Parts: sequence; structure tokens; C-alpha cells
Amino acid sequence: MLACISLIGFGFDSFLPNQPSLIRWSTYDLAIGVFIGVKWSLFIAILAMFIASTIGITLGLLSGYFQNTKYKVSWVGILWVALTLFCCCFYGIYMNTSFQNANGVSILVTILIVIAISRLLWAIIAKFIQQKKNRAVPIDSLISQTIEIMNSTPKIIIIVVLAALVQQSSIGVLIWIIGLTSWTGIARIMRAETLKCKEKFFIESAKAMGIKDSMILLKYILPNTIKPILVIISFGVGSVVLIESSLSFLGIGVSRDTITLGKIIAYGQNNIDNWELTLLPGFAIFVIVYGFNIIARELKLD
Amino acid sequence: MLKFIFKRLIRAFGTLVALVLVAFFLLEFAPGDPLQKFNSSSEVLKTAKEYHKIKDGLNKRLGLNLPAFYFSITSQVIPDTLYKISLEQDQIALKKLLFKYGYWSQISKYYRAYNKLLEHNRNIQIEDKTLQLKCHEIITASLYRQTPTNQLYRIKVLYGFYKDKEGVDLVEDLLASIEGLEVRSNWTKYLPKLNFYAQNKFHRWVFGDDRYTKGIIRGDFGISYVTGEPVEKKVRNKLFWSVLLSVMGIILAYGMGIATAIYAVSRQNQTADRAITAITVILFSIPAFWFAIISLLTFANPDVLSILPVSGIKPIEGFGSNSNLMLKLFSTLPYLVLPTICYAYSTYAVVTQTFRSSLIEEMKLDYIKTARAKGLSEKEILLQHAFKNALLPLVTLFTTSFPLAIGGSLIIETVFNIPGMGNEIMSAVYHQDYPVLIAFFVLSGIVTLLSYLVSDIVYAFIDPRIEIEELA
Repeated sequence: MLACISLIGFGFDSFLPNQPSLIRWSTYDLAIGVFIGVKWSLFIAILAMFIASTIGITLGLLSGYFQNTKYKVSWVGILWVALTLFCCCFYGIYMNTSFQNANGVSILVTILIVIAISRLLWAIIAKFIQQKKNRAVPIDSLISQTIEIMNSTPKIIIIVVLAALVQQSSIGVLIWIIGLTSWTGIARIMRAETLKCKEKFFIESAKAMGIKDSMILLKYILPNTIKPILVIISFGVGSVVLIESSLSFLGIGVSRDTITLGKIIAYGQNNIDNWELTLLPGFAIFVIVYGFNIIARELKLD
Repeated sequence: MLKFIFKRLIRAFGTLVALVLVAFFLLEFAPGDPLQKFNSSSEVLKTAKEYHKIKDGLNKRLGLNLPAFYFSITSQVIPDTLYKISLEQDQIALKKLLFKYGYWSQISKYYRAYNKLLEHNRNIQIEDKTLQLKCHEIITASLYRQTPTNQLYRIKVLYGFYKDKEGVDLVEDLLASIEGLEVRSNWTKYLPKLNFYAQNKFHRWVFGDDRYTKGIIRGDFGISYVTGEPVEKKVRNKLFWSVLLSVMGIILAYGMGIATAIYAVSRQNQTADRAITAITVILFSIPAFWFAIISLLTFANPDVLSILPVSGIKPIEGFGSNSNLMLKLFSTLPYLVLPTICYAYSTYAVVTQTFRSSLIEEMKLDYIKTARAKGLSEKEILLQHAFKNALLPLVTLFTTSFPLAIGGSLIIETVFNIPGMGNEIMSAVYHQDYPVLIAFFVLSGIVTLLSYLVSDIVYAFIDPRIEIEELA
């Protein structure tokens, strides 16, 4: 049903003239406005959750599987990675932004070039230097510390501050901001699930067979832990819809000529006579969020 | 126990340091130049003396002519005193020129001539201010456009404007310095350089300096870009209503939530229980601002029901002259009914669900069976045995609800127009008043950290198993 609504929303997109403040909303305008709003809400929520879950699942898997002691590298390796990172920051970001009018593409290209060179050199160096992989990287501590820092401020405050700092109001920016701030819950659950799953016998037998760590993570652990993650992602989509609509209600985040549900409600707030302007979009938000919460509950009960 | 608390404290301190660092860099990379924000449009028309007075004052108050952090990594060509130029726009333009021409000596000559001419232009006494403004634009264009050499013909126009000898000389100087710019290849610009600074903005921001700021460590968050008043004064004025509302909301939510959950568990799997579960899911999915507006439309609408006031916190005409505290309290109360309910309802839903599931888990345990075997009634078991133990998850939830209340206040205070923190954050967002925003960012972070800390320690006191796990 949600997919249908979003499809219809995409279809209706061409009909409504994108005006930020329609003086008088007819019922027809309102209906299409709600459809477009629903479409954008779902679009933002699903993409943001996609970003968040990619980050969260990856970090959760890594921190749960390797913990603090299992991932070992050599001193030279650490130094080399640090050097590469420094070069990426220096040549990719600093040189590009402070000396010319940089765009994202040139930064990305420079970083890719730096990484490629570093890989090439590493391939040569690794042949000559004997490495002892005896340094454990405390992945788990690093990630849990990052999560604690992220959680130390209310999410909505981080999002509002970031949106105010970026100043560019567009849907893409909003998606990235929300996505980059809401992965912590997923990562935590994923870590706990991985810890549980790691103890099982089939993982141990896979290890005994000499399968690589990356393969074990992707082929054995990920499919067996995905279910609780789906629950939390489903809840997350609902909460992102709520956050997005409250942000656009407050006038933060999306650009002026995009119609979102929160904006229609903000408009209706000032026109008490047109009460349907408030009622309908709000009900639409409620239906979306309720739908995702119900999906999450059903998944949980299974 | 002490060891656990000590470990936890160290971790919290580390997080706090990281939070402060993040906040500082957010403030540092915030778009816009504070110097230009304070003297925006009439800047050009001020004489050089006034301009320098304002600039120096701001430099001292905001520490703009300091480097950002304890160390910096720059390109080799950049002189390590570039930070002394407090105009951010100039710094960026100069960096671009440096990268193009390669050597600081020629650029500095140009920049000196540029500044002298600009100053001269400010000092000119002339009726026609638009002409002066035009000249200002021509001069600054030479720096801010990518290449000064392209601006030569425009600068030559200035000969016609300055009649006095000094002005002509300065224009000549500028032209000569621009012509002196030549592209000389300098490969050292691709090499990094490390600089250390003892005096810097971060140090000043955190620990303060002798005269102008006390630093955030003593509660001084700087001055607002918009009104110029200290941020902490602003925060202090607004804190009361937010705290009052959130405390009322939390008390309401937890009281009602715990009661509802007990009722639901006592009728487990009956109609009432299912209805409560369904209602909590529904309440959880309702957007707060919509709920607020709908409640306003129903209870504060002259067309429907007009039993509660629309917005604000006190009658528009003010309190009567002879009203005492009780009377004031009673006349404020109606204004707080709707906001409190809007604060409370989603927390209420979460509390009910959490407590219900935690009670149900608890009722499955062995000691409940023992209690049943002893012949206690269901009511006694629920209220005296299970209740206390099921409260554990609520401790965590309780401490997270304070940070959540800060977030919730954004929307509810905007809708009901309550002069609290949320309203202040929104106005800071609209006016791009970054010091205020960052102050709220840091403060809410500290509140959250403290509440997590308290929750962990309380948890360890109640349930000693946690401590053992943590230390293992």
C-alpha cells in the first residue's frame, strides 16, 4: 500500500505547480499535495534509513565479530593506513578546498587517486618488509566510544544544528544528515546479535574450515542476525518520518519549493478556517508511521 | 563499586571532551564571518578610525585574530601568521592567490597596498556616498575575484576619482604591486607543514582569557551574534519554563504509564490489555506537532470548544496588580494543560509498553511461582513482588527522557509559543545565531551525559550483576 501511494505520488508530481505558498488550497490541490508529501516522506525516510543501516550494520558486525583483540595488524600497516588517511585529508580536502573552488567530484577523484597510489606502493613494500601481525586494533572500544559521543546529544538537536550549519536546504542534504545521525541504535543491536551468533557451532566449524573472516561475516553471520535488525530498521523508518515532518513543520531542512506534509501543516496552523489542511497531512504521517510500527511489531512477534 | 564508578566517570569525561571538540569545530566552521555579521551593511561608510575601533573591539571580544587550535597543518607556502588577518573572506582569497603565485613576499606587498587604498577610501570626505561605495567595490573586487591582474583596467578608473596626491600614489602602488605578481612555480606548496600555537581560539573558548571571556568551563558561552548579549543570560531566562514543562510532563507520563501497565498486566490477554497495547502503538505514531495543533483546534477554538487559552504562558493583559502567588499560579495553570499533555503522551506510550513487557517477563520467573504457591493473591504478587523488580528498565528510560524532553520542547514550545529553550533554539536557527545554538548543543550534551552517568550508577547499585559484567 505504501509503495502504491509513493508511486501515485511520483505520478502526480507533474500536476501540481510547485508554489511555496498557495493562497487558497482547493481540495484537489490538498489531495495532490498530500500525495507528494507522502512520496517525499517515504523517499527521505527510506533513503536515510538505508544510509543509517549500511553504516550501523557494518560497524555493528565489525565490533561484534572482532571485539577488542581479534583484529590484528602490524605496526607498518597501521602507519601506512595513517599516512594514507593523512594524505587523503591533506590533498583531497585541504588542498582542494583552500586553494580553489572545489567541488565534491574533484575531492573524490583526488582521494581515489591517493588511495590507488597508496595501494600500489603497499603492494611493493609488503614484499620487502616482514610483517608481524601482533598489534590488536580495539575496534569495539572505538566504535562504542563513537556511539556514546553520538548519543550524548539529543538526535533532534544534532540534526537541527547541522541543518542550520549546512545552510543548504535540499532533500539530499537532509537525507545525509538524518542518515549519518541515526545509525547508532542499529549498530548496537547488530553488535549484540553478532556476539550471540558468533558463539554458535556453525561459525566455529566455518572457522575450522579456514573460511575467511569477511566471508564468515557476510555469508554466515549477516543472514542469521538480519531479523532483529529489520525490526529496528522498520521502527527507524517510522521515527525518521516523524523527524522529517517535524523539521519541515519548523521550516528546517527541505528547500522552499518542495511540498512536504510538515509544511502543509505549518501552513494550516495559521489558517484555522481550513482545518482540513492540518487534519489530512497529519493523518497521512500518522498512517505511514503506524504502518511501519505495525510491520515492526509483526516482525518482532514472529 | 568505587572502581566501577571511577571507570564510568573517566569514560564520561572522555565523551565530554569529544563533545566539546565537536561543538567547537562546528562553531568554527559555521558559515559566515562574525566580523561581518556585527557590522554588516554600513561597514563601508564608516571612516577608517571607526572601522578599526569596531574591528579591534571584536577581535578582542571574540578572539578572531587567533589561530583556531593548538596546532594546524597547512601547506608550506602559507605563512604561519596568516591567522592574524581576522577577515575570513580575505584569508580565503589570499590562500587562493598564494597557491597561484607561489610566494608570500609578493602577495604581502599587494595586500598591504590593497589595505592602504581601502583605508584611504574610507577616510575620504565626500558627499556622494554611492561613488565611494563603488570605489570600495572596485578595490575589493581585485582581491575577491580570482585574479587581480584581470582587474587592472578597473582599478585604473580610480585615478579619475582620487583628486589628491596621496590617493593617486596609493592607486599607483596597488597597480605596481599587481603588475609585480608573477606566477613562479613553487613545488613546496604541495608539502604539509605543522604549526603549533599556545594561544588559540579553542583554548580561549574553553578556559577563557584574562579580561574578555571566562570560557565555557565557567559557564561563559560568548555573546549572541544577533543581540550582542551574553548567551548564558539568554539561556538562564529561558530554562525555567522548559524545565517546568518537562518535569510536569514526565511526572504525568510516568504516573499514568505505570498505572496503565499494571492494569493491563492484571488483565493480561483480555480485551482491556489488547486495547491498551493498540492505543499505545497509535499514540506512539502520532506526530507531536499535529497532536498539538489538533488539540488547539478542538479545545482553544471559538467555533468548537473554547475552554483553554491558545498560546503563551500568562494572560495577555497580565496579572492583576493585587494578585498574590497562588492567584498567579492558578491563572497560569490553564496555559500549561495542553503543552503538558503534548509533552507527555508519547513518553506515556513508551513507558506503558516498556513497563508492561517488563512486568510480563517478571511474572514468568520462579519467585513469582513461589509466591503463588505460598497462596498470595495475584494483586499482592503484582504490586509487592513483581513491581519492584520490573522497575529496572524504567530507570534507564527515565534518565533518557530528560534529553528527549529537550528535543520535544522544540516543537511544542513553537506551537504553543512558550518562551522556553526550544523557542530560543528555533529563533537562533532562523537568525543563524551560532553561539546560542552551540551553547544549547553543549548544554544538552552535558545534561544527557549526566543522566546516562546517573542511570548507569543507579543501575549498578540496584542490580550488582551489571557491575561485574562491565568490569569483566
